[in-house]
Amino acid sequence: MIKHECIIFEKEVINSSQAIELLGNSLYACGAIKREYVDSTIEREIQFPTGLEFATISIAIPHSSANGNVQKNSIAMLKATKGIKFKSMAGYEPLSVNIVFLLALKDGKKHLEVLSKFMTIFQDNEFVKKLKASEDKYYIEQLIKAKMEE
Amino acid sequence: MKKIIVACGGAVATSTVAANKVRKLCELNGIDVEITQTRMSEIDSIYEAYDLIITTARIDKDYGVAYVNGIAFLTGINIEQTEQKILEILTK
Repeated sequence: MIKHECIIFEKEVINSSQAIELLGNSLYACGAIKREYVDSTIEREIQFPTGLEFATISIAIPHSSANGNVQKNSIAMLKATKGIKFKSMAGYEPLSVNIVFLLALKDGKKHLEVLSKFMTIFQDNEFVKKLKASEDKYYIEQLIKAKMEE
Repeated sequence: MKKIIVACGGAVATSTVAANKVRKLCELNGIDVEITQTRMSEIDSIYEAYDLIITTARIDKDYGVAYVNGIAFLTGINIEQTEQKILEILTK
């Protein structure tokens, strides 16, 4: 589901909508989503923020209902040198995140599967350490794939 | 029998993860519960019949029903405190 073509490194300061836009563009280029999915996800992020603060990393997992706009189950990842300002899912407080995952999943079942997995792997400090340290798209693709299959 | 609402934005993923963990917690502690999983927007029309509301998103209204934020079930941060709070409410 995660491919190196859809892993982005960003050095500039950007906001959450720009992050979703960048990630959306990469999934669109891979033929995974229709344009509409980017807009619906930007909108949903405002209504229901997705920032999550784990013990050793903060991430955001923007997503929205597929509504026929997701063609392939996929995940795009953006890693920012400077934190990206999202809001926390819990209380909508500002939360600066290190990594953003745009989830483009066709149905609820897949969504639950990915989310449950994410909640486990981001509590694994060894995995987080490796993910944070790497700037190699191929390595990150393999690292996440292997971890998701555990 | 205690009745619990577990809600999130879409009633698909985060509330399912939280609901499963709440169910397990109650089982382990011998508390008989009925869990209703729903969207944030639907709490308004059902809250009256419940003993506890747990959400993974922010709740903006005081329903006069005991409330616990369930984000700890996703991130693991402060999980003991969250579980303790839920057990206190349910065994009160």
